[in-house]
Amino acid sequence: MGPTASGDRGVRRASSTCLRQMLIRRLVLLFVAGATCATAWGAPQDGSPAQTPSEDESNELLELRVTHVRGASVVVDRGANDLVRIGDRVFFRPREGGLQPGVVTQTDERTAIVELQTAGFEAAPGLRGFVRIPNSRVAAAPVRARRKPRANAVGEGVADTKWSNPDEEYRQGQPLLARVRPVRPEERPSEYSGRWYTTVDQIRSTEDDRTDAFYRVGGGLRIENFSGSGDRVQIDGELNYRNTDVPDDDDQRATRFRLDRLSYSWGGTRFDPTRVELGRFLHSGMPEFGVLDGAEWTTRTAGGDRYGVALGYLPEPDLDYETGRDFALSAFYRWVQDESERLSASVGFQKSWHDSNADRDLAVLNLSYLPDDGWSVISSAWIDIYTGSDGLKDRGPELTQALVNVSRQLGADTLVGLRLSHIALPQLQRQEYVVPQPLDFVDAHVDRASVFARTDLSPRTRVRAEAGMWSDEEDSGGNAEAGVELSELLFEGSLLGLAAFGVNGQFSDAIGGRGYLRDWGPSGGWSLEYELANNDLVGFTSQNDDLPQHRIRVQWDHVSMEGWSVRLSLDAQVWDSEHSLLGSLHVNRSF
Amino acid sequence: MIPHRKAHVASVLALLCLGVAACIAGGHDRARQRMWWSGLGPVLPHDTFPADCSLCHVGESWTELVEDFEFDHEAETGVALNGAHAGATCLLCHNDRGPVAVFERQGCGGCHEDVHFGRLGSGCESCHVEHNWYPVGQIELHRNTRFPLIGVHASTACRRCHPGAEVGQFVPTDTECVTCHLSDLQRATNPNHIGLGWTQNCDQCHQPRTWNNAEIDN
Repeated sequence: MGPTASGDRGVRRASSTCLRQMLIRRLVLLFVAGATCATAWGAPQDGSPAQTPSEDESNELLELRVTHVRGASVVVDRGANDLVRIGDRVFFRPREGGLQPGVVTQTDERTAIVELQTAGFEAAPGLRGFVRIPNSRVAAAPVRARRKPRANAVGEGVADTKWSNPDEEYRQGQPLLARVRPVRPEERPSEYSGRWYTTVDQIRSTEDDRTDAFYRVGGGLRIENFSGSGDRVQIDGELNYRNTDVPDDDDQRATRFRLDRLSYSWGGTRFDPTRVELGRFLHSGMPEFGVLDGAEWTTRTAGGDRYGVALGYLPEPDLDYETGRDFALSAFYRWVQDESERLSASVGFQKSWHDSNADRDLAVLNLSYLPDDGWSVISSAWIDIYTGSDGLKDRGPELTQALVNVSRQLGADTLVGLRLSHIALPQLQRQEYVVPQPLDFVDAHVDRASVFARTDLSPRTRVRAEAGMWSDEEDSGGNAEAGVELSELLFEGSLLGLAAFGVNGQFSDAIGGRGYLRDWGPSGGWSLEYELANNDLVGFTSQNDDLPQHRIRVQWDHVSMEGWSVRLSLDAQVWDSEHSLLGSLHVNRSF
Repeated sequence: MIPHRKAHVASVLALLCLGVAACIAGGHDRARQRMWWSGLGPVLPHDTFPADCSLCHVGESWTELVEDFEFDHEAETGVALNGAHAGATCLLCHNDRGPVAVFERQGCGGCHEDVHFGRLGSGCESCHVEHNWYPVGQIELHRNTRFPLIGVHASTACRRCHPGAEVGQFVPTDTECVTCHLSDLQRATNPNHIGLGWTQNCDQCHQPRTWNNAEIDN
């Protein structure tokens, strides 16, 4: 901290001895800084103002901020180390708009005093601004004296992702905030966080008074530094009750407890590249391999790559996570281009046995490219490898899932994208897919391709559109939807949306429209939605193949900074002489 | 009937009471966004911060922040914190894993575990919003599939067709009617569907207006 920025409060609290030492030290620093500047850039020794950059000279914009106000002058958080010089013109950006000029009248290592040029303009601490640093001055400066401008908008400054605070002990003479030894996870107090939630879903339809009730109470707990060695314990579980009342079929009524997670882990921080997790948890290295009852070991190389292995039982991914029948071994390697991880690729392989019989050989490939210029490419491929003992599938590899998501942000207002997917049913002994008979495994697949775009025509008007096509082993079709959203049209905080859509499905076609009105504020909001669609049943042989359907949805949300989140919604569907009502209540408390 | 009703009501009340108790009991000393513990230490690099430490720190203790501390995350970093993110404690994102810009670039998946096992892609915002992770809009989204939900199908719980829905697994379900309605087919004895060989193309006579009624083209 320089003498002009330290503030009077800190000085008063120092003892007189410390005060003297501080003043002497700062005077020395001031002298050294001044001498360095004068030598490096040939600044006038008598303190006369530096040349103001001419309009046509190329400059570097340096963001700064007001830290103190002293009458008609202000103190800013940039100084000689940032190449700010006496006489430089500074422009402040007040909240009410416009630019307010000022001139640097005094500099310190890390601060400067700026005299405001507009009479009556009152600057407040925190006010942002900028100063133009001539490129010639930047080029002449020693490398260590250059400071990267602070990020000012989305995307700016993100490129600098390297840790600029290396893990080294503080040494005498270093700036106070530049190098500090971070506290290790095992040195921190044990803390816990988590959430509790309750969900009530009730469906009632008029045909024979069918009802479906599903009530859930669940929660999760995460304990950091559980035993004082930087370790973690995580628990997630849910107790639920279901009651499906169908007059012409057997009712379903059950209360179940499901353990989603119970794991103990350590490592995996920037201080410890190796991570181990035991218990029930989701694979951290490659979540495509699912939830595991076992152990996982991963480590990180100096270049940021990660690899690891895991073994254990795979719970069946259904309502009770039954385990003990599917044993799996897996390994993965994730390569990253550099620390920023803009380009990364990973490959993994999992072999599983069902009731001790060889079942699945699954290879997963992931590739993502996330540069800072608005592009985003995320893709994955699942390849099942059949060894010839699977009966219905030919020996060799089969692409059973491929997902590609490409999007491009064009400026701040427009987003365009493309999604591709291919899904085929693998042949498994493990209970994972719902199919009526084994033969359906053979060529069952569905491919989809869709494009989407949205753009803000004005700060209050957004238009969006999406169109897609699908194709499976028997049929093909598609869908399209376009809409507009108008903000603040009816009242403050409101969002009015209108959309039209068309669908060409496997068993039905439809055209329809939807309108919605939403209000949202810091503590929640509400929405009202109405949709009308006319469905045409394509396989029906009678004349009466139209099915108009109305849907009305009302939703209320409340959120609080204390961690509460409440949602209440009612969804009514009306078609022909029947109707149904879906009610839902969700209460969540994070702690 | 009455015992079933009683059991139903008792179960509902018990679960509701447990839920309410759990929600209330869950709120101990919540980790406030502005709170800073002395043991946490300087996880964030400070080298681009303002030189005036007193803007954030109390003079007597660097581990405590000033009472009126406000940090406009959007203005300072260009990244807006919406919904639940606005109330999250800083360390949930800025922690020992590494530079937060790396994870922010990866979107939701940079911080949140993919509980869908990578099967639903990277477009989390299609079903989820930031203020409440509970999904919404599934009936509209189902129109993007080959099987739009109409009539009685739009009034059915997701888990009836997707058994893994409770744990976030929405693997494809075969769209042939008998995949879900095999027991209905076996019970259809007036007329006897199986005896007459009526096991395919159910949609020639049945519409999803009701579960049972059929209409024959005259």
